[in-house]
Order: sequence, then C-alpha cells, then structure tokens
Amino acid sequence: MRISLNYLKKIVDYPVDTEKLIGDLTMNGFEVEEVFKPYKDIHPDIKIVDIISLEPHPANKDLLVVIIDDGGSRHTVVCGAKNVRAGIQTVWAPPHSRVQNFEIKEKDFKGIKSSGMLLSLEELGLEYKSSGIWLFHSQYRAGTPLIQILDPSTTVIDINVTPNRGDALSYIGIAREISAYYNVNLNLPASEIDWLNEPSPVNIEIQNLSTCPLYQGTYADNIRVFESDIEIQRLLIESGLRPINNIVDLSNFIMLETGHPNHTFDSKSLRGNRIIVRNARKGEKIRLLDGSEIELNRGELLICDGEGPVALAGVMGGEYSSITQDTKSILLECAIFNPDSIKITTSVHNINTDSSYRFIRGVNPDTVEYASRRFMYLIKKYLPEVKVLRPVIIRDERLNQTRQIILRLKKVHSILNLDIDRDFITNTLRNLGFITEIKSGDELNITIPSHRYDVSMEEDIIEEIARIYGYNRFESKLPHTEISTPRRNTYEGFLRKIRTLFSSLGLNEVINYTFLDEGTNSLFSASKPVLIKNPIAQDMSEMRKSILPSLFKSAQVNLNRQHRDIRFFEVGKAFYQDKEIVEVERLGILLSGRPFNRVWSVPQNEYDFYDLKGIIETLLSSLYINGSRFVRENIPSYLHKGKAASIYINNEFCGFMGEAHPTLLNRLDIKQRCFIAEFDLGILYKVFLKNQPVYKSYSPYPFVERDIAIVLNKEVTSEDVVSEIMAMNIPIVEEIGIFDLYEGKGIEEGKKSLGISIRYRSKDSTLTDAVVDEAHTKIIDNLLKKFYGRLR
Amino acid sequence: MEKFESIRAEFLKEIEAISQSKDLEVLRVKYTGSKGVVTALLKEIGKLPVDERKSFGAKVNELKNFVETSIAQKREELLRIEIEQKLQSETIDITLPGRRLPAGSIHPISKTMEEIEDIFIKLGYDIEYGPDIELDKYNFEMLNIPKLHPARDMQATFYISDELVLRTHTSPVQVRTMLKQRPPIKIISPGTVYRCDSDATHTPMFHQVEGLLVDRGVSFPDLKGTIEFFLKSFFGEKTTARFRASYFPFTEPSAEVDIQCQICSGKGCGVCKNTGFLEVMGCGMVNPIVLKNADIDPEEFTGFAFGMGVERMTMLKYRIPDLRLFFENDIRFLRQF
Repeated sequence: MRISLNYLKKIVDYPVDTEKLIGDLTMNGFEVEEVFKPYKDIHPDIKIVDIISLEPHPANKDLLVVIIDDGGSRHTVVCGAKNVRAGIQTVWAPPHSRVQNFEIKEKDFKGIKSSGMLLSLEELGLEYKSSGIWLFHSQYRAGTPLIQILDPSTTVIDINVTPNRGDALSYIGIAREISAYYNVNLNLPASEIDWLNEPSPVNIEIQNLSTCPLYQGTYADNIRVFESDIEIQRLLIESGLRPINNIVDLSNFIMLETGHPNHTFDSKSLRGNRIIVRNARKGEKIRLLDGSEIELNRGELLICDGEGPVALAGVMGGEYSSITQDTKSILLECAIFNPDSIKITTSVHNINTDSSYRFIRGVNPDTVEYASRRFMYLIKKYLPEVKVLRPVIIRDERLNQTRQIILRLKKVHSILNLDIDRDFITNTLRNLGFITEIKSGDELNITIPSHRYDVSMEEDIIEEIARIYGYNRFESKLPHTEISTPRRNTYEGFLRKIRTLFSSLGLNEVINYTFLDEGTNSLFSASKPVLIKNPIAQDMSEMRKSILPSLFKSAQVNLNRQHRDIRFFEVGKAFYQDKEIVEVERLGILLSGRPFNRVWSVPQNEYDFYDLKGIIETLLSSLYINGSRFVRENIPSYLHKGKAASIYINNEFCGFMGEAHPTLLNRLDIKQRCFIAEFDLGILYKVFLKNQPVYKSYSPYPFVERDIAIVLNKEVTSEDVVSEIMAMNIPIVEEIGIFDLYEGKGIEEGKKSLGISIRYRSKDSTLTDAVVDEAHTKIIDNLLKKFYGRLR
Repeated sequence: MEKFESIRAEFLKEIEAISQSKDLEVLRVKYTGSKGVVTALLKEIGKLPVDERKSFGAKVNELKNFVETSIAQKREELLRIEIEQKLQSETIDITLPGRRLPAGSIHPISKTMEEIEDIFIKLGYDIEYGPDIELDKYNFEMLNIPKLHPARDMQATFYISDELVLRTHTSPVQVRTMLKQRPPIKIISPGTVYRCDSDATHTPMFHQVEGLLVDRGVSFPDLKGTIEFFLKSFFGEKTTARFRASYFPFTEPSAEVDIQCQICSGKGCGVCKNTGFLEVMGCGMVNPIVLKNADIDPEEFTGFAFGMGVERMTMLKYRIPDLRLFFENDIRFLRQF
C-alpha cells in the first residue's frame, strides 16, 4: 500500500519526523518496504500551460501544431499525441529544460519550429506507459512551475500490509493506526452533503443478504466526464494508480482514502432501471472493463441490471455499463460483499483487482455511508451543478451486532510473562478503537471496533497490547523445560556420516530442484510419475522418480563450462505414484572424467567401473554394512549391461550402479563416459541401525600369506572363486584377496589368469609351514578341479 | 720407543687419507688384525725381560686403544658423511604440487542446515521429518489457514491434487508431531519446501528449518531468548536482533526478526536496503486454534514456533549474492564450502 506522506499528514498530524514514523510503523507490524520521492527529478523550468488551439501539421497528418500559453506569452509546439485538445491544461518542457536527463531543444518539424515539448506522465517518469500527454484541470495559473505543485520533497512510502489488516488498506486506515501510536486525533476528510429528497430512479434488490449484507446506491445527475483536477490526479499517481477521468479517478481516490472499493455505473445503461445482486447462473457471460469476456460457472456473485450481468461484484465492472465521455448520470455502488464470494470469483477466473484485494481482506460496513458521502462531496466540489439523490440502502440487521471479548489479565501474563499495568492496557486499546470496561478485578470486557475483523479472541487482543508496548522491551530468557532423553543414531547423523565420508573422498555434494520434465523423468524409471497441477514451467511439471537425472543436470552444467572431471553425489527425495504417492530418500553418485586432477605425479587414467565400486564399498563398510552383493541381474536399460550391477545387502535389493548406457548419454548430449549409482537410503539406514559396531577379539599370532596364480575360463568370476574357497570352511583362512588379473600374451583366448592371495592365521597358535601347506594344497586342488583351471 | 711414535704417526697419516668405510676396514686389519702391526707388538710383550714388560705393555695397550678409538671415530664420521651424501643426492623440488586427492565438499545448504540443527540439538530439541507432498489439511487448514483465506496468497502453492500440495513450509511437521505426541514438545523440522514463484529472489524450491516448543508456562520472553540464543550462536556473539510485529495465521502474537546488517554494522548499505537491518526469520506464540486443532488445551499449554529460510541464512553467512547459485552446482561454487 503506497502512502503519500503529505496527504497522510492532513488526516493525522503525527508529531514525529519521517524517519521515526517509518521506524514505528515497521516495528508495529506495518513494514515500510520502500521510501521514495517521485518528483525529485522534475526540472524546475517545466511549467503548467494552457492549451489555446491546435491544427494539423500541413506536411505530416500524424502531427499537430499546438499553441500554448505559459502565462506570459504564446508558444508553438509540434506534438504527436492524439489526446491534445484546447481549453485544458498540460505540462510543457521549454527549450533548455531537461526531461529525464535529456535536454529539450528547439526542433524543426518539416518547416515548423517546435518550441519545447508537451509531456506525458511517462516522460515525467510518473507512469510506466502513457497513451498521450498529461491533461488536467487545476486552479493554478498558466506559467506556474510544476514543482510548485508536485513538490520534489514529496515522500511516498510503500507499506507491506499483512493479510489480517485489511482495515489499513487506506489513508484513513493507516492514519487511524498511527493516531494510536502517538495518541493524536484523526481529521476525517469532509463529507457533508445535502441529498435531494427525491426517489432514486434505480431500484435495488439483493437476493441473498449473506453474500451482500449492505448495499448503498447513490444516484447523481448532471454529470460531465473529463480529466480530473491535478490534486486528485497527483494523489492517484503517488499511490500508484493511473488517472483516467474525473468519475473513475474519484472512485479510485475514495477507495484509497477510505478503503471502500466502490463502483460507478452509467445509470442510463442500467436496463429496466434495476440493480439485482445475485449469483451467476451456469453459462452466463460477461464482458469486463478490460475487454475480456468470461463465462460464469461457479455461482459467482454478480451485479445485474434488468437483463443480465453488469459487473462481477467486488471484482470488476462490466464494459457495458461503464462510464464514458457521454455519461450524464451515475449510480455509485458502495457495498459490502462476503469475502468468500469474492475469493471464489478471483480464484476461478484469476482476476485480482484493488477492489477484490480489499474485499477479501474485509471492508468496514460502518463507514459505507461515509465513503458514499465523501465521493459525492468531492464530485460537487469540482462539479457544483451535480444533483445527488438520497441513497437507497439495503442492510442486513445482523451487521448491527457488536463483537465482544473478555480479556483476563491472568492470560495476558501467561502469554507475555509481564506485569503490564491495567491502565496501559485500557489506554492502548482505547487508542486503537476498542472500548474497554472493567468487569471484575482480573477481567476486562472489550468491544471490538467494526473495522478490526482480524480480532476475534483473547490472544488477538494480547498481540495488540504486546506490539504497542514494544516487542523489544520484553526481557529474553531461555525456557525451563524438561530435558528429554536424546535420540541415538538419528537419520540426520546417518546422512552426515555419508556427506562427510563422500566429501573426504573428493566428491562434491549437489542439490537440485526435484522437478523434472516428462521426457527426462521417463528415462530413469517406468513407474508412474507424480504430476504437478500448476507447474511453474513445462519442463518442471513432474516430480523426479530418480535422483540420477538431477546429477546429470549438474554434470551438464559443469561440462558446458569446461569442467571435465565430475565427482558428484546428491541426497534427496524421489517420488512416484503407486496406489498412493510414495516418497523415497535416495543417494545418487555420478563420476566422470578423471579420478585425480591432472598433476605430474599421478596416473591420468579415466574413471571406470571399479572406481565407483570402490567408493560404494568404502561407503558400505563405513556404515558397518557387510554382506553386500553385486549381481548382474535386473539391470535397468539406462545402464551398460556389461558394466552394471544390482546391489543387495543381506539379500535385500538396495540400489544400482554401473556405467551409463551410451544411448542415454546421447539423449543427454554428454560426450564422456559416466559412472552412476543410486541407493535407497531407507534400506541402508535400516541396516546401519542394526549393525552398530561391537568389539570382536583378534588373534595375537602372526599370519602367513600364500599366493595362487590360476588360469581359468573367462566366465568364472572372482566371486565364484572366493565363494568356493569360503565354502571349504577352513578355519585358518582369514582373508582372501584378488591381487592380479591378466589376459593376453601367454594366456589362451577365452581364459584369464587370476592372482589370489590367502592369508592364514590361527586363533590359538603360531602356524607351522606344514599346517599352512596342507590347507593351501587342498584349496589349490579344489579350485583346479572345480573350475578346470591350471596353475600358471 | 721411537718405534711407537713412528707407528702412531704412520697410522695417523693413513687414517687421515681414508674416505671410504672399506679402506677403514683394511686399515683396521693392518693395525689390529691378527697379523696387524699392533697385534705383533702385543705378541712381543712376552718375549721381553720382566722389568720391561710392564711399561712396554702399557705403551702397546695405549697404542692399541688409540688405534681402535680413532678407527671407531673415523667410522662414525664416514657414516655421517655417507648419509649426508645420500640425502644430498635424494634432494627433490619441494615446490612441485603434492599428490593430493580432489577437493570434495558439502553443499552450503547442507552445511547451514547442520549448523542450525546443532544449535537446537544443544538446547535439547529433536529433529522431526515429514513428507514433501503434504495434505492441504496439514499444510494449511490445521494451521488456521482455511481454504479461501487471504494468507494463502502469501504462499503461492503447487498442487498435486485438490487435497495434496507440495508443502509450502515445514510447519505441517509441527502439526503431525502435535497429533502423535503430547507436550512437552520440543522439535525442529528441517526440509525442502516449495512455492510457485521464480525470480531473482525466489526459487520454486528452497529449504527451511522450523521449530516448535509446547509446554506449560511458555511465554513470549522464552521465545525471544531462544531466538537470540540461536542468532548469537549462528552469526556470532555480538549479533543484535530486533523483533517487529507481524502476522502469521498460526501464531499470535507474531513477530519478524531482524539482525543488524552484518555488512555495514547497521549504518545502511545496499544489502540491507539502507535500513541497517536484515530480516532473518519469523516467529510467534502458537495460535490457540492450532493447539486446539491438535487437541492440546491452550489453557494448560502454551508454545512458540519459529521458522527460517536456510538459503537466506547461508547467503548472509557466506555473503552469497545470488540465490540461483545454490541450484546451479558449479564446481567452482561448491568447492568454496
């Protein structure tokens, strides 16, 4: 809500300077987000002038030759604006003055010298886009410098009014709030008007008082439509609205000043001289002021005339009954609509206006009459010939009920922990418009003012007391609460372990949006995706089913920036639609490029399958997870079928790893091999919790290590060999390692040589050669027989 | 007697000339070996007259000791020189880069989350989690934000269905906790949240940490003290905070918390838009309607709640100028943390 301080000061003469006012508003819940001076750059030579006459440019039909009077002499200005007309005032930048840092020069337009320039609001920097020069009436003589009216020191503040304080969406509302801070009076702007005691020609009916509990229709005749006075226009400009004509401008001005959205109909256009407030019938249509036509299907609240809809109640007027240059009589609607009805219209049709914004937050029924009078007072000020008839008022009796709350001082103390003086409470509440009566020693009976729709319970009153007292005056202490038993091995601790391990292993953690486009999402999982009904962009319309596409996205960003070596992991959720929506915590890894930076002393090979597997093995062992198996089955299509594994822990599937399939990389336009893995963190966490370390004793005796080099068929896996040895159940076999793999020269096609080292150790004695020899020979014999191998 | 002198002089000359251990061994054999010069003299003792034996023997033994000691000293010296030479020959260019592992990193958002969590864990809070896809009922309605409430506009919402939303804050975790646990409740809920908003200062997904404490006798000064404890722990002991009145449907009274601008120390600068303050979090006393919705009697229990944006805290802490850097994941960004 933009507030011009000059005008505010007329309504409430606050006894502090601007800086203090801004500070107090901000601390009291009305955060001032911006402070600016809209007129600070207006050049002092720019003047108000009278437009005397105009004629088309002889050589260019798109231009006009305009004669203006600056109070002393006449000047010729060539102008392209379509709205120029004689008998009205505008703003003139004479030669050598400056407009937005450009110097105005005398300029020749095909033989006619233009002395300076007539300005639009846009050129003055006061509007985003103007359709013509700025026209207005004023009491100021031609030649008056513009800065004499638009004072460069004029200050405007932009206040963030929270949704509960609809009562403060106006000059009077903000003034009322301020008056409570400094205990000063409000000067309500004048509204005296004598109605003509004639029956209104427009009949008003309301179908349901719950949706429209109050409607005041005021008829006025002898209207003329033209540009507003500069005093009204400047206030709209300062408040961020665009001037249109005197009737629309007044309507907006009243809304800004009083907080009452209102609407003016051209009463001639009201068919049957009727206004009916009712809900829309299915399929009804209305063409709105902005030219759009909408179809009504949700029982939207309407203002209708004898034949059909003329306005979307509280939201926007219809085109048909709007004010035009020819309007001679108007019906001013000042009403109260049910916020929920308005909210339905705005959310179904996605139309939000200054009017609907206020109705949704609440408008005070008790000042509808004031707003109507104030409108008519101002119209008569500028058009004394206007005749105003006694208004038609339809009012729901239920509006007369006052709302009361009992405030217990005990409750104030229990929430604020402060012994506030009862007089402070009553004074504060009175300044804010509440009526307080002492009911008993501890209880106050509080009557809520009609504008404070946000206040409905004791705590709301306590907040009012606390904020006016000042939050920063309260003491600070730490709560005394029971200390509960801390949780052990939390999920958070588990995640930290993974993050710490991976970052020590040289991996970088990434965090990505969980949104994806349909195409990418479908590459990584066949399950049904969770869709967002209102995505922010089409390529963010699904929730990711896997964490891998996120890692690829980060890889792409970096590859496009010439970072070739990618070592990423991400921890986060993936989502899919089963019978219900399922959310799973995932861990993803992506490696690509080289394991080491290019340094003189380390080998420059690229990442391969075993680098990734090594990282996974390190992860599992640091989570105390043993019994993992890497199996070549159920390999998803996005992985290289020869270099991929499903990973099982204690025979439970927990994830995949492997090289990304070349087709996937093509799709993603990635030109280097990538090694990826994805885990279900829930399963890892479950096993981690079970496998907390427990000390196991170890043998004090030395070990003996023996190697075997054996030539085997290529298909025999190292796991086959190791399992075979394990299955022999030889108690002194402590550890089996694979130290060499060789294929090629010296080994026949289809075979490979495997180097196996076995560490022997006894729990209760130092091993003798004889004992080791016996075991080792047994193992060799068994392997040779089992795998048809030969020793190398 | 001169014989001794000349042997000693000859020995000294020879040992002086030696530069390698193997020559020293030859020298040792020559003098004290079984056929050595000194050994020969020792053998002569027995052949001498009795009265000469004593003095001659003493002299021979002295010579023998001298030879042995000198050789031992020389051996040590040679060893020292040899080691010295070996080390000299092994000298390397110590300015060449080391064989370092690539620099891994934890995402700054995770780092900040961990830091925030640690502060509250220290105060005895437990961590609770909830789903990202949340019931409208928990995300809004039970938090006193019914359908059609204008406060819904404060949080542009992604919808999955009429009943399901991408949570707009982690407050639904508070609701879920109050429904399953009786007071005292003392939790924080970190997590990912979503709002249908994207520009220079908003991303459609971001992170929050919220906290809730419900117990007997909890009051506004407890909230202030807790927030101040947190801010001083997070930003440094000298941090000053101010509390401004504000509005959240789920708290009453509600406050926004600002800290004095870290960049300009409150003098006013571009970062704090010349206000001298930076908004860091929202908080308030739990609205009794919210307690009642969870079947907790507001006459018996009171509580406070607070919430903060992790990205914002991270930006202030590390002076990161642009929110979008967090989700771009450029390695040069990630490695800085």
